[in-house]
Amino acid sequence: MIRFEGVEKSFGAARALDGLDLVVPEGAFAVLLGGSGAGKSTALRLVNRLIEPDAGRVLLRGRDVAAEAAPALRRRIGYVIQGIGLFPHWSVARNIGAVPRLLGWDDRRIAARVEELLALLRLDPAEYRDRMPAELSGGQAQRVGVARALAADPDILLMDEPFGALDAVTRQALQAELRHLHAATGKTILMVSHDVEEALALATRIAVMAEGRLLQEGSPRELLDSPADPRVRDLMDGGALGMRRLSLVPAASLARPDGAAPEGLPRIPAGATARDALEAMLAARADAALLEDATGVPAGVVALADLLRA
Amino acid sequence: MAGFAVLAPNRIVPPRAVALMDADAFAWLLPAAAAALGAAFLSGRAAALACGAALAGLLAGLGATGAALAGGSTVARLGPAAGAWVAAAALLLAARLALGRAGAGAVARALAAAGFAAALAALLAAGLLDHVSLVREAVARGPEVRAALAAHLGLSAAALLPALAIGAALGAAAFARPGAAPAIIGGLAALQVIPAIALFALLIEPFAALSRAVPLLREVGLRGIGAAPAVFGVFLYLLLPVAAATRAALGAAPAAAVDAARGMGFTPAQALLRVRLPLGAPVFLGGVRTASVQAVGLVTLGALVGAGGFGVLMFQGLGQFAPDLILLGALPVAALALVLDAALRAAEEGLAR
Ligand SMILES: Nc1ncnc2c1ncn2[C@@H]1O[C@H](COP(=O)(O)OP(=O)(O)O)[C@@H](O)[C@H]1O
Ligand SMILES: [Mg+2]
Repeated sequence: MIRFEGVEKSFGAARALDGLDLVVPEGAFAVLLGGSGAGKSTALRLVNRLIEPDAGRVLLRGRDVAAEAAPALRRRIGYVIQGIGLFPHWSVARNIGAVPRLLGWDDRRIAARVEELLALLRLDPAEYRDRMPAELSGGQAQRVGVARALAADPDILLMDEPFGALDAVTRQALQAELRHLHAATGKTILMVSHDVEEALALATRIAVMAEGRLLQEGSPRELLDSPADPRVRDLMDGGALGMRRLSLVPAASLARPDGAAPEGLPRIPAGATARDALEAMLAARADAALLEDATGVPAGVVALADLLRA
Repeated sequence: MAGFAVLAPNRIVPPRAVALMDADAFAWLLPAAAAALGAAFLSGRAAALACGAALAGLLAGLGATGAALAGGSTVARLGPAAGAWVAAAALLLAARLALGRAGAGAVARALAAAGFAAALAALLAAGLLDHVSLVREAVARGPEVRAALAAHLGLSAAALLPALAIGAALGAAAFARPGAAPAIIGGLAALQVIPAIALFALLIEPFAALSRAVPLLREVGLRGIGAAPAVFGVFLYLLLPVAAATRAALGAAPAAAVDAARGMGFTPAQALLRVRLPLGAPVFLGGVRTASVQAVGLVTLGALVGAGGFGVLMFQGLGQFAPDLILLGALPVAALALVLDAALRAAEEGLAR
């Protein structure tokens, strides 16, 4: 659990944080959402003490982060940034092994961990282990950046717009990877983003910030349905409120048993969202879609009218 | 002096021009011309090799011409004149361009230069160049040349080594305190504005006073005239390239990599040793290269305030209107600077990889 208590921080005349109170529950995937200059990066960097607060404090599992020496604290916390910041003079393996090396792991254990992480991030170890950062695409480099942050198995992962510099296709692939990683490991993730779609696709909790303050914190659904502030409503609505709502609802929760389903309905996979169902119907010019189960067998029907219950 | 070369019966009498057609050395010059012509049709390394061969042939041709025209005289000498100089310069340039076209790196260029130096040494050892004026002069002044080389290297090192230590410290201070950087770098840059000869002259009086005041210093040889003002003056000039390169080197690592290192738990010392220094080393070495080449060049002027080195030969030659003697001082300085430059460039390239 990460807790911000009345945190204030100024840079000269610029007030970056103006009394931030926020709790990130254990195991959450929390996204700090807001426009540029809202104070999101400042908040993130307070957690691993890259920035010290002027007032207030930050607690990790109830313990003030200031109580521990900064380097030791940081080695327990994964850190991923938009610029990635791979060390250009080190191979991929050496980059990933950086924190384990600082922690004094022996070489064999580091090598095994590097293999494991490359496989986890879907990079073939034999092909990528010995490459230099200059020989990687942007997406591959950020996969290595994420692997490096996970190397010493931290409980907490801090990410500052990690996919901001990637093209849309690569970004979506890495978002899917990260969602899967969060589901598989249960790590607490605190991520900064200015992209509502990204927040909705990933977050279990969203904290909307503006001008150094928290506007609202809640589940994605809460923020969509009951915004507490006009700025939150404008941000979450964005002219696509209905579609965003659909994207949060699993199609399976709207499906009925497929009694006498007509022939030729479009099919959607088990994990599809209600938005995927609508897309399939619109594409096929049909008024219903056939939901498959995990084995590909028809498991139910989602009708156009059912989407109104989302 | 026009012509291909000039012939003098000894080093005092003014020489007379020798045309290419007078030269009885076509055994050397024809193959050299053929090689030069071949270089025009070859590409890359082969062309560079052909240029080198042509240059060696040209030198040997000069030597052979000298031997033929001097008859039995042991003091007559043949000097290169406009024709030979232009030919040599054109061949050097062609070789360098060919190496560039071949994509040769600093290491390959250093190897090529070493190969040419070896060929030159072989020509000398075989006595083929004995009648070339410069070689005559060098042989006559063997001990002087050796003393000048030792003094030149000693003076250069005496200025360079402290400049590396103190310049690096100043550069590091400028990096660590950006507020102080303009004062530090600006102060060192202001020194560069003073002409070297003026700076050396200005330093004579303080060193003389110091030597009068502290007998111990006087006993170890520190005087107003001599090595002290030259070494100290050159040292002052070298501070800027070293300090500026150190500052740039410390800032050369990408900002994201430095932020990542800090955020992942590198201590400041670990970030310095494992990230900043390795990534900045080529930049620092570039500053060392600039400073070394400058040191070798500036020390030459030290002869004017009584320091030794090749400057002594150069200024003697200027005083006596003896071009061979001037060259005997100037060519080794140029060669030293080129060798240092090539060696440090090769090291930089190795580091950057
Ligand atoms: N190191 C810094 N020096 C000066 N001002 C800063 C610094 N870091 C952030 N700021 C200022 O603080 C405010 C919040 O910045 P930041 O937390 O980076 O915002 P965000 O990440 O939401 O875009 C901005 O006005 C920014 O200009
Ligand atoms: Mg930011």
